[in-house]
Amino acid sequence: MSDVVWTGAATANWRRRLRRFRRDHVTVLGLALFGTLLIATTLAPVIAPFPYDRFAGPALHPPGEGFLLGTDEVGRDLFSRILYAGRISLGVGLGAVAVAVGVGLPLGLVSGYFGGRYDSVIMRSMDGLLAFPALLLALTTVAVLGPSVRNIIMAIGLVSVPIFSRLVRASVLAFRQRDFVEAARAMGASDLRVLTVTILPNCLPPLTVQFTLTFATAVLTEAGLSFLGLGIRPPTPSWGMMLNTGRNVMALAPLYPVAAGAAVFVTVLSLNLIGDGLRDALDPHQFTRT
Amino acid sequence: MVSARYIFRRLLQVIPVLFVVGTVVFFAFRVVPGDPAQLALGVDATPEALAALRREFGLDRPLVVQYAIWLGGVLRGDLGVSRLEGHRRVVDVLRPKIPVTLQLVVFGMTFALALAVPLGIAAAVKASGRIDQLARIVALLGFSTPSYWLAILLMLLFSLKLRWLPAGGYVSPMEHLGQHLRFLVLPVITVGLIQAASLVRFLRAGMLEVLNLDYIRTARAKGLAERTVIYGHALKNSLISLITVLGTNIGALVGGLVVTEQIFAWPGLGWQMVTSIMFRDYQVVQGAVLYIALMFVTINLLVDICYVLLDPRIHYE
Repeated sequence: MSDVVWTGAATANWRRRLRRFRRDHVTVLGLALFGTLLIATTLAPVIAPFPYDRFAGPALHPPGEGFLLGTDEVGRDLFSRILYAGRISLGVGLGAVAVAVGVGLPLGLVSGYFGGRYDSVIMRSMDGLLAFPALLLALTTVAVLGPSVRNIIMAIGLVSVPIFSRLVRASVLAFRQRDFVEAARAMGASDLRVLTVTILPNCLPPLTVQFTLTFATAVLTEAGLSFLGLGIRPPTPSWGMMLNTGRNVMALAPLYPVAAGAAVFVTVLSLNLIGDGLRDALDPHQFTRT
Repeated sequence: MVSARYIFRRLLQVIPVLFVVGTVVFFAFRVVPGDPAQLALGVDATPEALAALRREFGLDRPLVVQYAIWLGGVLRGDLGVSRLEGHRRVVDVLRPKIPVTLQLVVFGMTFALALAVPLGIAAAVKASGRIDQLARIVALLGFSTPSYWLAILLMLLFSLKLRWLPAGGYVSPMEHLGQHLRFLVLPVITVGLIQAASLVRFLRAGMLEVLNLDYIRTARAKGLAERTVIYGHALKNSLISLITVLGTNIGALVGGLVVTEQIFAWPGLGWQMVTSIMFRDYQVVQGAVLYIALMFVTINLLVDICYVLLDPRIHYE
């Protein structure tokens, strides 16, 4: 695809450079935001001024006097709770992506490589899964299995399986007939070896983009489930749950729900920024177009 | 033109999808570890109460028989009886919720389109211009904003601070149209803003692609006004990509409505579903899932019909 507005080669070049420069900055911003979040939540026991599960002061204390964001409805420090909740949210997100990749990747490999009946069975079931709104599917799964951290990870991961299997399948299809794969086969490599050693590494770049985007969706979904009261259970803090409790007291402490939601927002935003940057970096085609 | 035969065939395809969804949901709620009756009544239920509940819902019969009975019921439009809700029929519990949810979908989407279409066009026409930058930022922010957070921010601003609009609730339009509309505003903005974000992104990309095609150059070369080129020639073809996104988005939207309805106490299907899950009223949950699947499939059908209407080259045979 050619560039969009041609106002002479010089301007186009200049524009492209500007764009690349700006794009890089956006990615760096995403990485910086996410890195900060990761460090802050990992080091929560060191950073948090108060324990997340003990009363630290009066209920709904406004920000100040040692309480950076104030206290919650029973007097626990909000800032500390947001830090600790981040560990759960990021953990669930990462776990869900692991489930999605762990199940989706082999399915996609088999589907794309062997084709035929395997392909149609796997892809039709993926279509079935995909035909359902993600949050609804996660909701139903949690309703059936019951809310626990493990089940929530399974539910959110399951929802994202089709995206990964389709993506991998498409890459496998693109590489299956290529000469280097033929060469590997001619040299007597087994199907398993061809799949894992020859083809798989080539499928990884588009996966990294999906990885970050799915991570973002997983964090959103977990917060959504917990917000509905069908996710993480108290006393474990989670952003979604804090949003829900915060909503009930927002007339008295508006910062409470706003801060909890901002945590989700910043996480998702940083992951989306990284994903966008990766996509541009990996796909030179799109680079010039947008 | 869309042939009646095509629509009929697509309608037939709806049946297996609903069948699979229904069957999966039926068995899903029955492989739950533990006794559904116990789950429903709680740990301190008396054995008599448990037995009565099992008998009432046929839980004492073999699974296959239960399935056959349930399936037969569905075919006759009978989704069973709610355990709560005054033991009403599931159909009667859910049917009034459908227009309430659809209303949010329709108004939310209209709002999103009203916002996204002009912005998307303006962004594409002057790519890398100021409006384009604005559109990018709007899209990125909208993409990352959780709907429940946006809802709370809107409530804080419009309900608590400015006191212009109610923070949540529902008044039937039959009862008081003006009040009804006031309650509608915030949920519709919540749904619409987030949808608009992704629509802008896709409309801009689709529009850019079309604007680069030869026929647009021809149109310009023969001296047509830029307005005519953009609205008459380019927009119509970009609508195809827009419709595709619209179709996939509405799926996510219907799912996301569960949260929005919950926040604004909007008594639609999603709200009912969450309430029923919490009270373990599985007959209603099953019914709600079926209804939502039906809505989803219908929307996809409408999208496919729109394709044919917009692009005479697409044939379905």
